Amino acid sequence: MRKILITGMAILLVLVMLAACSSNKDEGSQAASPAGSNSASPDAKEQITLKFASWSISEEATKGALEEMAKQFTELHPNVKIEFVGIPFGDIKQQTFVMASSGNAPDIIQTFTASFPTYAASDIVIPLDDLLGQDYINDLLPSYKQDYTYNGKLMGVPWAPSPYVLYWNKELFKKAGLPDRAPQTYDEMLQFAAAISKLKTDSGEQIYGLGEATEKLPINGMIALRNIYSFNGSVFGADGKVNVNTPEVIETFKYYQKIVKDGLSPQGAKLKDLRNLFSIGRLGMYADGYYGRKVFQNLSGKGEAFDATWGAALIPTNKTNESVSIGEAHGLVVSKDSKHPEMAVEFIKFLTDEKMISLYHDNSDVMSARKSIGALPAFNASELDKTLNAQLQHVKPLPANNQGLEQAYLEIAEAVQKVTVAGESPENAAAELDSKLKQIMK
Amino acid sequence: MPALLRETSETDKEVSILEKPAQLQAGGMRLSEKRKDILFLALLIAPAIVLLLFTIGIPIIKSLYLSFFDVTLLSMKTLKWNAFGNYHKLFADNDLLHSIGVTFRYVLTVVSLQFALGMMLALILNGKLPFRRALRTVILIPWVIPTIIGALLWMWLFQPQYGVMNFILQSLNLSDKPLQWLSDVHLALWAVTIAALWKQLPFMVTMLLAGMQGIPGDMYEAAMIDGAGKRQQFFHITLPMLKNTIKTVTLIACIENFKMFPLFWIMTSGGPVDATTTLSILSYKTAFIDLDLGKGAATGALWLIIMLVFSWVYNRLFSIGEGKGGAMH
Repeated sequence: MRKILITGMAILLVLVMLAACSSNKDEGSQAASPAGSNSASPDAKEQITLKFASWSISEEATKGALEEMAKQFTELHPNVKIEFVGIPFGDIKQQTFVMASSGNAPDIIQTFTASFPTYAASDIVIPLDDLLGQDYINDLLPSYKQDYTYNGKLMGVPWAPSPYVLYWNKELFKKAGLPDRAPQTYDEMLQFAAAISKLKTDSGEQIYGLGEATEKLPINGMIALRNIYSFNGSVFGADGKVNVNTPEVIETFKYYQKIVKDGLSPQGAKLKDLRNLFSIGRLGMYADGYYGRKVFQNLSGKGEAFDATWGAALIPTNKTNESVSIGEAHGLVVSKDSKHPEMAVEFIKFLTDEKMISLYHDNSDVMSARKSIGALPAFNASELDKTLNAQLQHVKPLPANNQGLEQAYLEIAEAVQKVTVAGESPENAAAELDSKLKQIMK
Repeated sequence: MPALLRETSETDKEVSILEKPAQLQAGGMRLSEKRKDILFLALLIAPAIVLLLFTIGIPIIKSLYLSFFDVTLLSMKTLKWNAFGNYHKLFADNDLLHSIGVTFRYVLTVVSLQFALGMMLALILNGKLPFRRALRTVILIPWVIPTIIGALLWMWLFQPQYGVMNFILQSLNLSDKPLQWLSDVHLALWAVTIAALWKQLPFMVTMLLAGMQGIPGDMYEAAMIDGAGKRQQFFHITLPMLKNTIKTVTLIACIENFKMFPLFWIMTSGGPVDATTTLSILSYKTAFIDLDLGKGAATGALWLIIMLVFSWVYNRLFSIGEGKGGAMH
C-alpha cells in the first residue's frame, strides 16, 4: 500500500513539475520578446513576427496575391516575418475576439464593413490616426473614411473597397426581348425583372429577374440600406435619432415583399446563392461588389469567356433621382495586444500602396479607397473598373459606427426576412424594427 | 453457516491476525482492509476525476459564475455583477421560451420518428433476410459520415433552385413549384429533422438490433408453441425484453438532439425568422454572435437545468412498474 501511495505521490509531483515547467516556458518566451516592445520602431532590426488573421489567405482566388505581397514586404524588411492565420470568413469575428480575450490576438485582423463596428467599439483594437499619419488619412475617400471611423478616430483601414453595382445578364435580356442595356430606374428594373422571370431554362427550371439577398445575416441588413437609401429613407429621422418607422422604409419593405411574392427574386437567398444563379444563367440582375467577375468565371465554368455574357452598371435611380449605393470594404484593424503596432501599420500601408493594390487589382479587380490611387489609369481600364469608379462617386456613408450597429444590421435583415418569408406586413415590420433599433443603437 | 461463508470469514480472520503487527508497525496508523481498498480505488480514479473536473466541472462552474455578470467579448477586462440581470433579459425578450418550444418540438419529433423507424428496420434486419449482413453494414454509412458533411450534403439536396429534392418532387408532379425547404418558416424545422433522422437512424437500429439479438430464441419458440402470433410475440416478448435498451437508447437520442448544434447552424443558422432557433443555437448566437457572454452563459445554465429535469423525469417514467426495490423507492 505504501508503495502505491509513494508511486502516486511521485506521479503527482512529476505532473506538477511538468505543469510548472510549461508555465515557466510561456513566461520565458514572453520574457524573450523585446523589452518595451511597444516602442519598437519599423526601423528596428530585431526579429519581428506579425500575425495576420485573414480569410483571403484561405481562399484560392486571393491566396496567391496575398502571399506575393507578404513576400515582397519581407524582402523590404528582412527582419519581419508575416505569419498568416487563415480563418474562414464566417468565423473570423468570433475567433479573433476569443483569441483577444485570452491575450492572444493576431497583430492584424481582416474584417469587413458589416462587422467592423463591433471591432471599432471594442477594447481589442487601437486607433490608427497617429500611426498612419494625416496625409494617408486625407487621401481616403470620405465615405470610406467615415465608415471606418469611431468616435472621431480612424479605427481601421479600408483595404479592398467596392461599391455595390448592378450586374445584368445580356443573354437573358436578349431572350426576354429587352433592350441591350441595364435599367435606368427602379421601375424599369422591376419591369425588366418581370419579363425575365417569365423565361425558363431549357430543362424547364425557373429563371429569376432580380435577386435581392434576404437571408438573416448582418451583411444583408447592410445591403438593405442601399435600398432604403434609394427609397430616400434612412435609419435616422431629421432630429438625428433612430427612426425607421417611416413611409420610405415601409416602401422599401414593400419592394422586397413584392419581388419575392411575384417570383422575381428567389426567397431567402444569400449573396452566394445569387452569385451561383447568375453564373448559371438563372438570374437576370443583382447588385454585388467588385468580386463579381472572378466569381462568375469560376462558378460558370466558362472562365474569361463568360465575361461577354454580363455587364455592370450603376444602381438604377429611384426616389432620390440619382444612383445611390453603399460602399463595402474588406478592412484591416490592428490589435491592442500587438507588440509591434508600428510595424503592423507599416505593413498595412504597404498593402494599400499603389504597387500592392495594383497587384491585387490585376488579380481580383480590387479597387482602392485612396483617392490618389483610384484615379490612376490602371484602375479605370476595363468597363467594370469604370463602372465601379463611377459608382464610388455615388456612395452614401453608412450610419456612424456604434456598438450596436452590427446587431442593427442583423435586425434589418430579420425585418426583411419577416416580410419576404413570414408574410408579415411591411408596416408591422417597420414598427417592430424601429422599437428594436431604438434599444440597440442608444 | 454455509461452507462458503464460513471459509470466507475464517480467511478474513487470518488476514486480520496477520495484518495486526503490520498496522502497529506503521506508527500507530490503523487502516482497515476496507479503508485501504477505498484509498487504493480513490488513487486509481483520481486522475479521471481531476481530468473531468478540468474539462467539464470547471467550465460549468465558470459558466454559472459568468451568468451573473455583465460580460462581453467586447471588453473582457471588466466584469460587472448584475445579479439576475441576464436571466431577466432572457425571459423579458421571449427568445428563451420560443427556443425551448422549438427544441422540444424538434427533440420529440426526431426521437419518436427515429424510434419507430429504427424499430421497424431492426425487426427487418433481425429476420431472415438475404444479404442481411451486407445491409447491416450499409445502413451504418450515414452514421459514419461527419455531421458537418451530412449537413452540407442535405443543404445542397434541399437547395430550392437546383437541389435534388425539388427536382424529384417536381418530376413526380408532387409539387408544382420549388419548395423553400430551408427558408420557409413551416418547412425549415422539418428539413433539419429529416437530415437528423438520416444521420442518427443507424445508431438506433444498431442498438435495437443488438438488444433483439440478446433475447433468447427459446422464448419465441415457447410462445409459438403456446400459439402466440407475431404481433403478440412483439408486444409480450420483444418490447418488454428490450425495455432497458429502449430506455438507454432513447435517452441518448434525446440528449444528443437536445444539444444538436452543427445541423442547425450549417443548414439554417436558426432561421428563417428564428423558426429553427433551438437552445443550443440561442446560446451560441448570444455568446458568440452578439458577443454577450453573460447572457449566453445564462442561456447555457437554464439549458443545463432543463436537461437535468428532463433526464430525471425520463428516468422516473421508465422506472414505473419496476416493482419492489425499484427507483421509485
